[in-house]
Amino acid sequence: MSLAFRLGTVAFTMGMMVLALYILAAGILGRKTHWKSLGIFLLCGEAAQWLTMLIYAFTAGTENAASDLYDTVCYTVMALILGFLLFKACHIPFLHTFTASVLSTFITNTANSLMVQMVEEYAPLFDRQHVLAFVRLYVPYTLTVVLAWLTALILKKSGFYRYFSAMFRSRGRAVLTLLVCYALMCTMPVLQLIVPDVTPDAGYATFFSALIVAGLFFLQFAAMYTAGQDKIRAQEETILQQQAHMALLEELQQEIRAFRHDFTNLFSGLTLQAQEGDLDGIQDFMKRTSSYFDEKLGAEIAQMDGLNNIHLYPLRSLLTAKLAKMRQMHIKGVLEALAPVQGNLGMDTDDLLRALGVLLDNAIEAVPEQNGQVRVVVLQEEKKLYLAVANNYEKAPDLAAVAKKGYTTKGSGHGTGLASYRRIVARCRGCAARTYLKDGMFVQELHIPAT
Amino acid sequence: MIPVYVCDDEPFIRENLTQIVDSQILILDCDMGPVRALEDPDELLRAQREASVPAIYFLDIDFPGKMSGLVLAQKLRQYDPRGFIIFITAHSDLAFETFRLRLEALDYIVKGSRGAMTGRVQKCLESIQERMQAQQPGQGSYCTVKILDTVRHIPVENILYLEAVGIRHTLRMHLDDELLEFNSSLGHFTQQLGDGFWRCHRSFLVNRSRIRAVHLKEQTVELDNGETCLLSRKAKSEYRAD
Repeated sequence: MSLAFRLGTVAFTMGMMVLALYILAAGILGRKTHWKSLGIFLLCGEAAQWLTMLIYAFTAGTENAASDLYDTVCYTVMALILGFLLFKACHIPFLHTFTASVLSTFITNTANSLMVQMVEEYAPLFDRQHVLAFVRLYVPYTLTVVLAWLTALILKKSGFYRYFSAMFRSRGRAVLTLLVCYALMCTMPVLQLIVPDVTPDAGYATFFSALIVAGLFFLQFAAMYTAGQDKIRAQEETILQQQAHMALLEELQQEIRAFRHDFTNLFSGLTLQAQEGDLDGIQDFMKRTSSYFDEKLGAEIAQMDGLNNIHLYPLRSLLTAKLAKMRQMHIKGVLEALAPVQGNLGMDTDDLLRALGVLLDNAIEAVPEQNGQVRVVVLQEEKKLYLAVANNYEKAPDLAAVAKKGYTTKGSGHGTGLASYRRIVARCRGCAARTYLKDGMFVQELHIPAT
Repeated sequence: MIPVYVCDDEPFIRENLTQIVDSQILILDCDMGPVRALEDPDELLRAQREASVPAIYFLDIDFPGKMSGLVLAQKLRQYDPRGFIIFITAHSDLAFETFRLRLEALDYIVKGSRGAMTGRVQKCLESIQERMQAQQPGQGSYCTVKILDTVRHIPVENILYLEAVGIRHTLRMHLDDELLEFNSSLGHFTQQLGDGFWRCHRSFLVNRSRIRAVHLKEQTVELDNGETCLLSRKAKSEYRAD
């Protein structure tokens, strides 16, 4: 066989592995193939594998020892590269993409060894080397890619990423997931290292396949469990917010009762005046009481109107909770939502809630102790949702500093809210944010495109 | 002359308000007029196209059976982003915050006694006059920024610098008392703004007229409000060559 053919074959197997890795990792993350990053990864992957091979050849010489160690390092490096590329291409946190890459490395390797063993077991023997190479190398590696593609398809269809991302809710859980995946990836090399005499065969590969299936089941189960837990927590939150809403209603009822009491008194006075024919007195009374109702109940009713217009339920809950908090802190909260607010936004609802939460919390904290005012405007337009949060302040915030990382008026340890707000805005395509001072108010606007 | 429009479907209010505005323009001796009274919002949209902008609009908040004042104002704004909008409303508990923030409406006038309305109109016209005079000396060029479906014209002299941030094409525009973040590229603005601006770094574009000092040693450019931008090595040699 010519050297070129040998090199080509090796390059082909490596390329196939890289391809399978990418497809599977993208499948786990539930994303479409991003051609540019795939191209970059193909190049990087090939380079990494060739480099490992060369280093191995030079340092270890011809001794057939510890190649697995090199492989592990190589795969780790490749997983890092893939994780980074996917992180760039899909805008998913790096920890997710890296873990997915590690997991896909494990699955691809196992699938590959299974395929190699199977072909070895069932393929007829040929004496011509080209055909042999074809059967022994080309077929199983191609099959690996096909298998990876199928797996990725199934994972994507079943929405695996939902469960997968649930594993990353807390830091501890995320690290554990990564460690488990990494341990899985290292199983085979470690086994080889401990018992080098055992040559892998079909049974061996089948065992690992079974392990994968069991592992995936376990992952799915664990993830479903966490997702369930999250759901329960979300429901508890909704109940709390409902209670806040109920409190608002009760307050309104109290005020109406007081109002009714007032009004009966006022009217009995008026009746007397009417009997006496005191026209001036009556006119005076009209003048005094015409805005009475608005003063007493106008704000609450306007707030209710605004809330009722928000049909995006989680958003309504958030606003109810924050308005209740403002009432508790004796801050005058105004909510205006003139048009019904639907969902279908170009931004994740979670992100929307987080962003608005940051803005509201900041506004609540920035108002002066006396006469604090927070005004919230939610306006659904044809092509976008317009959000604005305005608050008055004691000392005008320095806009130049607001843009800097970690800006805060509250001493160290704060200032992460605005940073995450900016991250969310940057992540959302077509979103625009505006921060400005107007008529003694500090205003933060957010424009979110509708889909 | 800045055209003035009064648009209300109630004839009584319309005529009253037109008279008030007319007399106030005379009293204040503003460079405004003629005052046109219109009943139909569509008519107003047509009239706007025929006359010059910016203009002053007194708009009813609601036209039963037709478009709402909000929609009308949005349409007017599309063509006349720098015009002055004042709403006329029957009740004082109007959701004015929306109008003020979203449409940059100037004020609102509550339908009621003639005296109160006159006072409010006077205040509005005075404030408009003030703003027009404040804008006069600049008269410079405007930078057009399109955010979703809204177009804004920002006076170039108000821009301090532009900054590219993050991994996506997010641009942060630093203005006097304002920060604006949106999806765009620095290259686009380098072209639009021309020679008045200097690309002092891969991710910074500063307004030359707002630079206070260039610190070659610290590799920063200081602006007249004390903010600093980075200075790249390439721009440094450019600066030295000048």
